[in-house]
Amino acid sequence: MDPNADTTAVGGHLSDLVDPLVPIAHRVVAVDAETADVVTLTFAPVADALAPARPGQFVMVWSFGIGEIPVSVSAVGDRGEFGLTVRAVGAVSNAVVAARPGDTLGVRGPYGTVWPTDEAVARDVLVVAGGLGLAPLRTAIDELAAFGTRRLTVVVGARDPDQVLYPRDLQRWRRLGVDVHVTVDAAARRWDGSVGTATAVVARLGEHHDTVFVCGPELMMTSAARAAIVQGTDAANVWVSLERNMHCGIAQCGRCQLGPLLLCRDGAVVRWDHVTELLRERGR
Amino acid sequence: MTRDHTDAGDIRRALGDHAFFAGMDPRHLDTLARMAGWSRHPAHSWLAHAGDPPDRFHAVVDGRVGIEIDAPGRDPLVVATVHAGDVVGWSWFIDRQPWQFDVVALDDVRTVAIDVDRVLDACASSEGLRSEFTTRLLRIVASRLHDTRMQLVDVYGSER
Repeated sequence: MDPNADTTAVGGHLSDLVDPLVPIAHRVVAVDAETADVVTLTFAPVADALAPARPGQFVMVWSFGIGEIPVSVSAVGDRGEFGLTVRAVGAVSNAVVAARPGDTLGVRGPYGTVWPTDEAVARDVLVVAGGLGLAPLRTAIDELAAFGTRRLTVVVGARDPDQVLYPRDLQRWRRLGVDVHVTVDAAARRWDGSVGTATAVVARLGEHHDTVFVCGPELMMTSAARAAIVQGTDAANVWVSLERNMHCGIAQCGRCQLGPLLLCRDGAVVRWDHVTELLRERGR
Repeated sequence: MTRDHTDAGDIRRALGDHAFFAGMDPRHLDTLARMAGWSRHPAHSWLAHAGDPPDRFHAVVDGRVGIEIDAPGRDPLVVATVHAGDVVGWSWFIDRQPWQFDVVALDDVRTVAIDVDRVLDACASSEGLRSEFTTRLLRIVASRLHDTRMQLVDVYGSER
């Protein structure tokens, strides 16, 4: 590290000059409940800011004294602010979800590959998101809507209507001309969307799409990717987001290995035809 | 529910445009059109109840149809929606089973309703028509089985 480097200016992107494994202090400035067990926390840098995350990238979030988890960036704001949408499922994520405005956590990153939104300009794009999988796609959809695709279709799947993330964003995207379909696994009669899988919606669309982004549980991604390919999308234009046990974030520890890939570096966003065979291996 | 008695040509065109019947031999479509009529169902009305005899099946043209389970001790639950281009009510094809679930119009729904007895008679005398139905219904059964399995594993509930 350059001893003369200015490491104090707010708004500088200096995390690449320090030990990449050292988290940088960030303050929680807002907590928004998304569902009963999912919240979106907005972070602002205490001093140094991380580089702005591109769509699909993730950060490592450190709850002091408890541990660290990877979380995809679901919003990027001004002055180094960013949002993380987290479900409480373990010790660290429970601690993160329990954070309140004013609390400080450590964050490092951003890491990983990005959704190729720039390649989608003027193309017919399908985005399929299942459950929390909408979080890593949220900024990608914003970019796609802003870039001007030829047509943008978003299919969102969730367990039930109460688990659908970002309802205000869904409405906003509709107002921007995005064709948004929401489907759940089961619902009361008053639900005004579909009931069934995201894959069934993709099949029902019955349309060819030039580019397809899919993120969600792996079973759902596999099924939706195959459905898109059946509809005529080239497998090389289907992108999925794969997660394994991301730990170091810098391709050193090997815990996120999938075949020849280290997903913290070579993913999480990967081309479907690059991982199709890897995902067929049992016990992967 | 109301039934419209429109001309056979109108029904024949609707069948020809419907995804379920795509690619079907035109002669079979002509046969089916003579067994069918328009059926309209206002939102929240019933197309069928579980246990009803299988008199007609519906090719959905407009609106959403909900397949609903009403189990004692809990609120009714829609477990699948059927949309334009899909059909609802096919249990009759195997041993003339009655309707298996409640079926409710979630929007104002328009269907082409086809007489089950006459279709079964026609299938009995035409191997070609029987084969056309078998292939198409198997496609639907496979799709709904896939969906049911995905729902069974609660794919979103197990997210980490």
